[in-house]
Amino acid sequence: MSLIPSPRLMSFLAFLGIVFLFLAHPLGVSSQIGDELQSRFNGVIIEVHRAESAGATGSEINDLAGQLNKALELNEALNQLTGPNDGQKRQALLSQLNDRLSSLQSTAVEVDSTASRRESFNRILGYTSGAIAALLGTVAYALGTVLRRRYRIKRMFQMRVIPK
Amino acid sequence: MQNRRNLLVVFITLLVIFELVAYVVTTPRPSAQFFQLYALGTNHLATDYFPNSDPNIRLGEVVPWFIGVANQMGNVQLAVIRVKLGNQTISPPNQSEAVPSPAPTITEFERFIQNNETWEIPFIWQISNATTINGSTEIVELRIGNQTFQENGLLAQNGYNYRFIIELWTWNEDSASLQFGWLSGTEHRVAWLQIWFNATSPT
Repeated sequence: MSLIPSPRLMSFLAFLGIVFLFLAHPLGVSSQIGDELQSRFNGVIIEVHRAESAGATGSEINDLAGQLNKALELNEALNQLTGPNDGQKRQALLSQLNDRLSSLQSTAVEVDSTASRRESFNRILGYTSGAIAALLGTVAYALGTVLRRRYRIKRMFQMRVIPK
Repeated sequence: MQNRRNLLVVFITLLVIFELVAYVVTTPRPSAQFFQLYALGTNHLATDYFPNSDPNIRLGEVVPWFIGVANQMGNVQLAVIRVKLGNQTISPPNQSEAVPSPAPTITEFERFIQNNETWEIPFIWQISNATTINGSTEIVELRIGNQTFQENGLLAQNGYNYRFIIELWTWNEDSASLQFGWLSGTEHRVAWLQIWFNATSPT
């Protein structure tokens, strides 16, 4: 009987080794959380940018940026909790961060729709004002023409004929 | 009949003029998008970066700087300032290819900045531990603000020509990750600074 293990046994041992390595290395889980957070952060940033492009006011953006910075602080605090006994704290912070991101997302969507409506209204108001101004200008022109004509007629009747 | 035609011409002319004015007023004008990155010395000036204007920094000597970023991108941006420690041989960032420096990152600061906002942070640092063996100095420990950072493997001949490389990173929405520099249209731009110093008196 040979002491060299068969290729099948070797591949089984290698498989066991890989499984053990995966189980012993819980970093994969935290990186998944990180990826999920990253994509949520990205979604929130995109929504904030949308609200900004829609014409959100300075104070609305100020509020959103403040909330984003608070979320960033929470994320930073979360990243600093790396100890083995920090599980509970980590979970609590993670749930806080998730809540903040959800609230931020909904606020940004709200600001976006409010700003869009306000911007559309302002645009319509602008163009309507333009049309009204053009109409008023035309009326003024017409009135001016009529007055000028009347003045000319009046002047014509007031003219004296001086014989030379 | 002629009168009506005249009035119509006047109305259309005025309409075009006023609607153009309304368009200009209600449409935001495109502007150049960029960031500004700066580092200032003790007195908030681009001078006096070192105590007594001497770049030879002793152990425990406190060096106060101010690092700032101004956002002119037209919207809220996540700005990350990465501070790296380099020596003379390590490559600086590649400006034309937008490649960051391979120097080790010591620390980073991050914040969302609004459009037209400037974010400034005090960057107060000191070399808290360094060793010299056979003419090669190695900064072992740096203190930045209230935090201590361990460093190893970065040597400088007689302690000369160390440098802080300060890079600006921003958030890229398309890749959902941080990028060195920022995108202005299709152009990739970068901003970075370096300030040289010597650790010539480690003991």
